[in-house]
Amino acid sequence: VTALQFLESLIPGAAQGLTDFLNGIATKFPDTAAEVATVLGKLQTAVDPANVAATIEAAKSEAGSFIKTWQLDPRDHPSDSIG
Amino acid sequence: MRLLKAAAIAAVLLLPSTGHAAKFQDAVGLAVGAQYAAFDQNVGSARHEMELGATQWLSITPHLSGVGGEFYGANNKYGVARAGLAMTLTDVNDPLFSARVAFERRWCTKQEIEKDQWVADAGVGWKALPWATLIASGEYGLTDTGLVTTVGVRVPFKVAGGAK
Repeated sequence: VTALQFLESLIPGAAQGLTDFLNGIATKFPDTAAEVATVLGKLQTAVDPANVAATIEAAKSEAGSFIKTWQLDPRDHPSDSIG
Repeated sequence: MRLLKAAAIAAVLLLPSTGHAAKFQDAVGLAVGAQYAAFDQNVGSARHEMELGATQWLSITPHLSGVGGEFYGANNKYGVARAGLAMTLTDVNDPLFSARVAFERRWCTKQEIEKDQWVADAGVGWKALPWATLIASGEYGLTDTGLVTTVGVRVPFKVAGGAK
């Protein structure tokens, strides 16, 4: 299962729409073609179920630590700006 | 009134605890943005919309963030707000690309456009330019089972954390 397939399982049509969107950017702005290819490569990387489970476990552990200490441990995630 | 309620909840999510004011400054992010939203037949009377607005987020832990946003639909003249919790699925130390799932509450001033309800969201963000992030997301309404698909751009003027 790739990241794109995982997205598709959550939101039908999302994978094709996102791929078309990114390819459209690369076509419109050829300078971005290499970066678009990198992003598409990341999206097509296999998602190991064990890694997904590990991510959920990590998030649960982080939440537990935060509730105990109230210490923030921020990261810069571009997807957070979706809102 | 619904937007005020949404703003109040977003503020609670983003308010600093008094003992960690310095840390809060590092964890908050702010952006303005525009997006094209496409609605399926279960969402409401509109099929698509150009929305303008702002988003805020608080990076709580490496994987978890409180997120919120307020947008105005220019053609159908409505306001829509969201607030909730997002979990990052990709490398948490990559400041250029990330994918997430989120669980949010949505409020809208026109119920015939988008209904108030809890929504599940999956999306990606790509910092394509130093000043601009491209986003794409799919939002599934847990009550009306409607799908809102969004592509857009964000211009962050404050980001959280920085690369670590």
